[in-house]
Amino acid sequence: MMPNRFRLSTLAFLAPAVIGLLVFFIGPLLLNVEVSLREQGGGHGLAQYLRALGDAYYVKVWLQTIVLAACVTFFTLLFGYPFAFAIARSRGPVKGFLIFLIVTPLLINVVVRTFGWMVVLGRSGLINGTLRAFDLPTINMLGGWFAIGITLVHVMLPFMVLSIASALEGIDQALEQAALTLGAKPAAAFRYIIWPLSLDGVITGTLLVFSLSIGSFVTVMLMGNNRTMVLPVMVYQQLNLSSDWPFAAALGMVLLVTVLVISGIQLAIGRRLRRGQA
Amino acid sequence: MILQSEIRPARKRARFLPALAIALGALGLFAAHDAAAQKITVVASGGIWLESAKQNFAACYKERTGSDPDILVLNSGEVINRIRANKENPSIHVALLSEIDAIRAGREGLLDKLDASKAPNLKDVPEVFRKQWDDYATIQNFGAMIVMYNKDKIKEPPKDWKTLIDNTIAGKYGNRVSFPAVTMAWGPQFTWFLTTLYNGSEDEVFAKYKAMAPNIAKYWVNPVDAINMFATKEVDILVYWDGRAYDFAKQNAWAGAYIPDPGAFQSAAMLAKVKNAPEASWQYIDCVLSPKAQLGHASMIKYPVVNSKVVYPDDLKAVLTPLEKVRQPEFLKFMDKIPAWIERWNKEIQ
Repeated sequence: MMPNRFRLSTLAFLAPAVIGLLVFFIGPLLLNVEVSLREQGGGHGLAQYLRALGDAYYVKVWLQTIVLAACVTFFTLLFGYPFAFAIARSRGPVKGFLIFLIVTPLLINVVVRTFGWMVVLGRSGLINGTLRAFDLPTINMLGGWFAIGITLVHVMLPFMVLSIASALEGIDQALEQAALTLGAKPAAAFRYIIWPLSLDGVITGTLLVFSLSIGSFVTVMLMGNNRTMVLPVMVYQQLNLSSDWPFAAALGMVLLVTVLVISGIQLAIGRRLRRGQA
Repeated sequence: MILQSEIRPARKRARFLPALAIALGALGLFAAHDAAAQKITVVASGGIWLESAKQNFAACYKERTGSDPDILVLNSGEVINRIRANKENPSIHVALLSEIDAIRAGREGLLDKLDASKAPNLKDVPEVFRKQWDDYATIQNFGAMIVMYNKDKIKEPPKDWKTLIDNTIAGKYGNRVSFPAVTMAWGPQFTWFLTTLYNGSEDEVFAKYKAMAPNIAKYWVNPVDAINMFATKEVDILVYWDGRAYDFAKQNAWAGAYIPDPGAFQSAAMLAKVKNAPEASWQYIDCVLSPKAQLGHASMIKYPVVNSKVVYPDDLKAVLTPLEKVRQPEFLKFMDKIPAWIERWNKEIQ
């Protein structure tokens, strides 16, 4: 009797969340699928999907979107891991200061942060101002993938750092010390002890950063140009300028499926890595 | 000792008090609902526009109805999408739309035709400001896309649009020029205007866009981004809206603004009453179009307004683009081409 009662109470607790998801997530999603299947002369079909996946330009935009998100995730991991390590290994006011450093940007709107980077990267900005002071030629850094990349890495860094830091903090330092005592070099201790045990945090961080980056819109629009087209900007254009809802819905679905598939692959790789380390 | 007879009234009171509370609560809800029915939601653009909407339009509405409207800052695309989302019970009652969205909203049956018997100030708005919209919307104020330039860098700004375009292609200004993109909300109108300079040829205009691209710092999409590029001297020439351009030039001695020949296209904000919106919405529309509020609005945002009874003071008149210098786009002729223009822009202008 007990397990049944337990199941019933669990279901009761889950019910609000499940109903909320059905009404506010699955429902609109199904509606979106229906809109994406609408065809010009009436009726339903796959015309919008064929347009999105059959035209070389839209395929290029789709690939650009994936590559941008992957690069942002890679560089966020590259810069975020050492920062997370520093947070996990520091104590007292230093730890507080590092956490403050990484959390503070989250309190500032992404638009403001993006405009901040415009000031830094602009022709009269900090970098070019310094170059000019040394009589060096200035560089046009705005309006391209570099500017978008650096801004997105900055915007996404806290999500990666916080995910990894929490995993690193859970690692018993005695394990690392034991390895060092037994003659392992620090690099080996990292390779065989710290990295495998922090994989959960890395996977969470990369999943978060990848899914947020692939959907990022404001930063790409402000820092990019016509060459740096990605799917979220394309969806915005189709909705607000072309007023082509079915095509916008189809592009949205392509984006969603892409995120789901890549996240699934990331999780599978993570699982395999963990199994390999075990 | 407490008698039974003493308990009964107490019990009755105990039953009566919750009932009274429920009744009062219901009454309160009813009153709140009634007040909410009078409450309307309107739209404004951000910055000084929002201030003007509060000082000129909302103040007039409060004077007439005793109630403050809720003012939302939204762009045209968001407005039309919100109205589409709930046609029976719209969350926006008086819409501020781009010209093309206003035509689309009228065609889709999202708006009520403007009615001078309900908003009498409409009688003083010339027909030219309503005709293309079939009276589903009226221009509230208009501006024009003109040229801003850095006086320190550009000693002789080109007198006309064609020279500006040819000089940009020739690289005369380096890559420090910014034009609006076709994908900017008023980009299709600008493209239409350029076609009028090139014998109506879209192909020629797109060829010019493509030829200019290497010397364009950015084809801008976001107005705030555009003015920031100019303010930080990222670009020396910027095609931008007149009111804000003149205002910027007034505050920065190094900046200039002018209308190249043969003029500019009219870029307007459309006012419309949303279908199924409360009747009080007409009061707000009438307020927006009243001579006093219109003059106040023009003084603050530096754009010409549409009520023919408005008389501008000389200092204001000097910074407003005259009507004879602007051409109203023929929206019905090109609006159905917009999706194809956007696709062409995305694919060709890299």
